[in-house]
Amino acid sequence: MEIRTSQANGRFPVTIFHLKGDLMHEEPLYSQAANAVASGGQHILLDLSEVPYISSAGLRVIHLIFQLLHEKSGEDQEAMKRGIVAGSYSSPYLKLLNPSKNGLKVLSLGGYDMFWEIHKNQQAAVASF
Amino acid sequence: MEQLYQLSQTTSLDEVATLRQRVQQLLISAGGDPEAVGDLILALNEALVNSLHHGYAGQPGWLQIEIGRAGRSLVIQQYDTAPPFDPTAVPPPDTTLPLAVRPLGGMGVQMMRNFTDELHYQRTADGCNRLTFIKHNLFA
Repeated sequence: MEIRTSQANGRFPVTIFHLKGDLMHEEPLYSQAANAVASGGQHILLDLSEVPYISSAGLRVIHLIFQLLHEKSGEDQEAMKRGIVAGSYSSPYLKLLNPSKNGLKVLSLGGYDMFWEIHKNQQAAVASF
Repeated sequence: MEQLYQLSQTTSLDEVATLRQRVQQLLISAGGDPEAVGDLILALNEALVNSLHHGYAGQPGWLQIEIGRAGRSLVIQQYDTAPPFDPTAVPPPDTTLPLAVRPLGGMGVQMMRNFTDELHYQRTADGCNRLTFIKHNLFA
């Protein structure tokens, strides 16, 4: 998997990981995301435009990045739980851009597509943070 | 059952994408419904990665894949010689839990279940794990 990183500014600075190839392993994406968070990054957009396939291990690394950001943010657990129950919660810190049809199927299988906003346009995605 | 494809070789994780694409092209050129083929490929990919990643501890390992057509149904049998593992015995993950407290992982077997119509496991007499995927109405 190839990963290119870029930064964009909306209301917040956003780290964008542009992924190319199948997302089937935790590494190197997790390490790069952890480095971005350790360097002060709080908002991550995963550009999946060139990811034909997401495996369960790929799903797991997205979940890990969500947890990393969630823990760093100190996000209110109770508010999050209420949002989940109401069906209105999505992560303010992690969003996805342009998953493939296969990718969408995998994301929806575990209900993950409810928690991570999915965008089709990078500019709109950055502005949504 | 009409056999469409058979492969028996030592395979590495890096080769799974190529293998997946080969099977996908074969099934579509054989007249398989692209949507149903896509689903089946998601399930097969998980099984292949599972065998290599967990069964063979990430090292290249022997895999055999047999693909056959039975009427409108597609049957895929995957063999490996890794330690016994029955994915059909794995309980489904609790996807109702909030994401922050949901256990990581466990979705691979769920993908195998959800993207096929039938999933069967057998430990064969000669020491292989045999996983059988059946997708009904894949062919018109």
